[in-house]
Amino acid sequence: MALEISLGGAGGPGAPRRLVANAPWGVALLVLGISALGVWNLASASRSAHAPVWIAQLWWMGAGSVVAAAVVMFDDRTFHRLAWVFYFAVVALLVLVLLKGRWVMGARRWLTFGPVNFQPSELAKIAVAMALARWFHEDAARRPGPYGLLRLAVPIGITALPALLIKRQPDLGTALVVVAVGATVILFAGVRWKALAALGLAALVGAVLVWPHLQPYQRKRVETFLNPEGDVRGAGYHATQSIIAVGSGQGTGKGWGQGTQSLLSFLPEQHTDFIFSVWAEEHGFLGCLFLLALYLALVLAALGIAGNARDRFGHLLAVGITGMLFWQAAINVAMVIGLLPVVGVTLPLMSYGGSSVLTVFFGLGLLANVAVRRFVN
Amino acid sequence: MAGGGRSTRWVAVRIGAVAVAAVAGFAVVGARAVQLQVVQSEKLGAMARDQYVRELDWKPRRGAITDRNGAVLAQDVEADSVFVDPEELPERRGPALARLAKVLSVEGKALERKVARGGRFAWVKRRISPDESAAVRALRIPGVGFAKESRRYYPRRELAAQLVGFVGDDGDGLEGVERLFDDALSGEASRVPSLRDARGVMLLKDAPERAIEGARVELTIDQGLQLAAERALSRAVTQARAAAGMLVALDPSTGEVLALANAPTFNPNTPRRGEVLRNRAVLDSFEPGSTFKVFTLVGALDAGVLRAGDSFYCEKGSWRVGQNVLHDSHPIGWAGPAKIIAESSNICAAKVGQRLGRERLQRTLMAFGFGEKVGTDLPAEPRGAVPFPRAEVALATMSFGHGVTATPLQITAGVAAIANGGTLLRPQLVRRVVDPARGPLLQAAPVAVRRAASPSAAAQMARWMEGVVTEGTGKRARLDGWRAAGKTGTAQKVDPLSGGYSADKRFSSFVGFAPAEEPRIVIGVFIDEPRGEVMGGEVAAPVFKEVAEHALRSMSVRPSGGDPAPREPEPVAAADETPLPSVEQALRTARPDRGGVAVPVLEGLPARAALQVLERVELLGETAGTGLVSRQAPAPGTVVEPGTRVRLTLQPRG
Repeated sequence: MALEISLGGAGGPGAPRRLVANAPWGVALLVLGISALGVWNLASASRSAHAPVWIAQLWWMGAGSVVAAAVVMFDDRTFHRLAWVFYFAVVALLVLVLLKGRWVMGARRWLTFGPVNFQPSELAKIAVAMALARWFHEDAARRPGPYGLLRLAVPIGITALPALLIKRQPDLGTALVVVAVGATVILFAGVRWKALAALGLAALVGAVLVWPHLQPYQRKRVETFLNPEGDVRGAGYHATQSIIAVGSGQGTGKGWGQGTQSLLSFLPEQHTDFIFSVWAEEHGFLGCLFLLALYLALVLAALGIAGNARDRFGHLLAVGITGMLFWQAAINVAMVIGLLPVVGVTLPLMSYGGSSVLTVFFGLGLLANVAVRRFVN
Repeated sequence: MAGGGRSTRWVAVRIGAVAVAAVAGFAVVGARAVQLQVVQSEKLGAMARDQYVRELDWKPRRGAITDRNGAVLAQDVEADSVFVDPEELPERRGPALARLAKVLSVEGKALERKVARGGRFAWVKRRISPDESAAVRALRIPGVGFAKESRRYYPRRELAAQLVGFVGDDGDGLEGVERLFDDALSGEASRVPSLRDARGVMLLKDAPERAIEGARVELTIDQGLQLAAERALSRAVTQARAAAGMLVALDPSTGEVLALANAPTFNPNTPRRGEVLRNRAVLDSFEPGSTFKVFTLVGALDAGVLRAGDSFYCEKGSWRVGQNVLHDSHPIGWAGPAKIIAESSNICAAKVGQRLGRERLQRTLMAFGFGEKVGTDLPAEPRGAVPFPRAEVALATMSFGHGVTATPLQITAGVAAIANGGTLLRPQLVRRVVDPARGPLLQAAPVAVRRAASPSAAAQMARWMEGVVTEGTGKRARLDGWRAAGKTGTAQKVDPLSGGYSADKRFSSFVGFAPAEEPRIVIGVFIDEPRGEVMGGEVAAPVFKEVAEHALRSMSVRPSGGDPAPREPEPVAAADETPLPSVEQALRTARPDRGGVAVPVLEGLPARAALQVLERVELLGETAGTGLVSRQAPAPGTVVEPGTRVRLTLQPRG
């Protein structure tokens, strides 16, 4: 993280000193640590590949740091003001993806602007957090207290619109993360118990109703998840190979660069979705515990920022970002170790990918922005 | 909404709840990690190994066979094998396959059947020559592929072909030393764990380097002498229009076989069959004839029934023994033992045999190694027959080498025992067998089988044998510069149809040694069924002379009185008859250096010439590709041990 470069930034009154004093150094340190491990791990994972992706990853992380630093220097009211603009811009991009996106492996997820390819669905996670924070901020000014079902219609809609657009790409994993981020913010804002129960029931009924409408490959994944050994060479291949990789790491792992599952290309998507199995295979149980502890510390530190935000927008935005980090890490790791079906969710700061890295750093910048201005009134 | 008391508590409670949820979430993940990486780790680790570890049977490269100085007689080289992938062949595969079959001279119909059998792989022809390979490449037929396989290459072609032997299509030794030392040459196939990736591609984790080569077998023969022997023998066989010829050269002090030639011979690099493959010098036994008089008389000397001053009446060429009449080729009257040997009198030899008696004659012959295997371990080595001479005539004929059989190697070894003062040494074909990984498997040392004659009797006989060369039947064996000793033999062959002796088929021989005063080499020359001039002194003795002179010159043996014989450059058995000038240049760059060899400059040489250069400086070559040498490792000038492998990377001309 390059938070220190915000020293000369033009924030609120008395900005430079406060920027340094209030900067979330703990978070910065954790992010730096995980990112370093991530690049190191990618260097091992790309041994068998043609391109050393870890160098590209370094560039993306550098770019991400610049984005984060820039975000920190803005007054947080800027984001408050721009929340809706940002949200609808992202929604517009999501529509554009469905119309003009690049086909890759049977899905339209990428937009191409000249030499740049990116996935607007990544930004949608932050857009939803921002829009919900803005809406709850203003709504709470009118009517306090927990929310009933009726009043939740708007925030649910805010979440559902991009989620459905992403689901149509189709990209179930990212859609799920968007829903999870939205749900986290909504729950944090306060929901009546009765409404919560009704929502839970609706989700259950919805799942049953949606099942026949899922893509065949999506259904297959869930079935495979429930019985991975039923089809080891076919649909269960990813899950089985990942579990073998993790398990064969045993207590202390095979050592950096010694992972046979990754070197011999048994692991699918080993740079992106399954990067954690590379780590688990080479560094074993102890390495996994260490990395998970870092993620937990990061999530808790981020929660601390959320708790200390100076207004409701800050609280909820930080909660949304925290939710994004937590859910992605949790869903990804759970998928890799066979606790969840295989859905395409990247591991923040570990997985390779420009859109993913930039989005995470954008979110971290927002988090830092909230942190720096927590005592400003 | 900023910082109110209720709001702060509200936030704290929720933050706490979310934190607990997050910790719980990570705890679940951690528990799963325990389950996978601690509880099930053994099972999952084994699953991982099962899918990537595959054991490969790694067959070592077959070891080289060299002469006593390290000149390579047989080595493995890489050759192309051609296969087809039927699915990738052109639509109309008939004409394409026909062209392929023609270029490789395989049967077109058989090839079509192989291809039609289905599957995606069929060998067309294995281990083809570089020329064939180039021709196939020029056809540019899609679906035709090449695989590198080891091919046995005999750089000196016919040289010692029957002794070296050859391997079959699957690389197993079928004949000769290739068969005798098949296990050592093949080396131990090792099971090498290798990795298999998800697509099934095998990756060797640690490619075995040097150790993965079979043992190197070093023969006792000297390629220079062998070449001289083969040339002389072959010329003699051609001139005498003989059925075959054999030559054995031994070192009388060690029993080492310095040359072992058979004529006619064959090129082991090309397909071969028939009688020429047979190492007759070791494997065929003949009735030896007059050369055996030597053993009869030595036995009589040691038995005390013969003295140098004794005199026998040789009956003027005709003597009745029981029902039979013995003849001499040139009738003589009274003769002492020296003259009996020099003039080769059958009648007087028979009289000496009578004095010796049945038991002692048989015992003498057996003491010289007849009737027992020499012990080369070559398959089907015969004992030869030394039957008890019950009949009066059997005793008489056995005294001059009929009614017994022996191999050329046995006869030469027997004479070697006389040359060295009476000790029968076991003839040895192999000096050393060295496994690169396990060290020497065999290190030959002279083996004395027994004392066959007393030193004085042997020395006496050597003097009489010198008379054969100076004034007897073997004058044509006389050497320029050295004293030689020997004995001629011209045996009638048994006619397999009548069972009696053939009227015209002869087995003619000359066995001798030189220098007579201190023998360094024993040479037996055997000509089977010469026509026209048949006497051993005429057809075999000149071969002895040529080979013995070559040997003594190249061993720098001081001439027996008089001036030293001029030393001629040693001929080299080259794969190419006309050595390229650049071979000589390359050779000059390999200077011997403190017991090692400097690797010569080979760049730009054709593969064969480069291998030839390496052989001459006692290095082994290993080629990859075809054409001219473009790179070599170790680099030129590097000082290495003799026998080190030099890798040559070849590139097509131009």
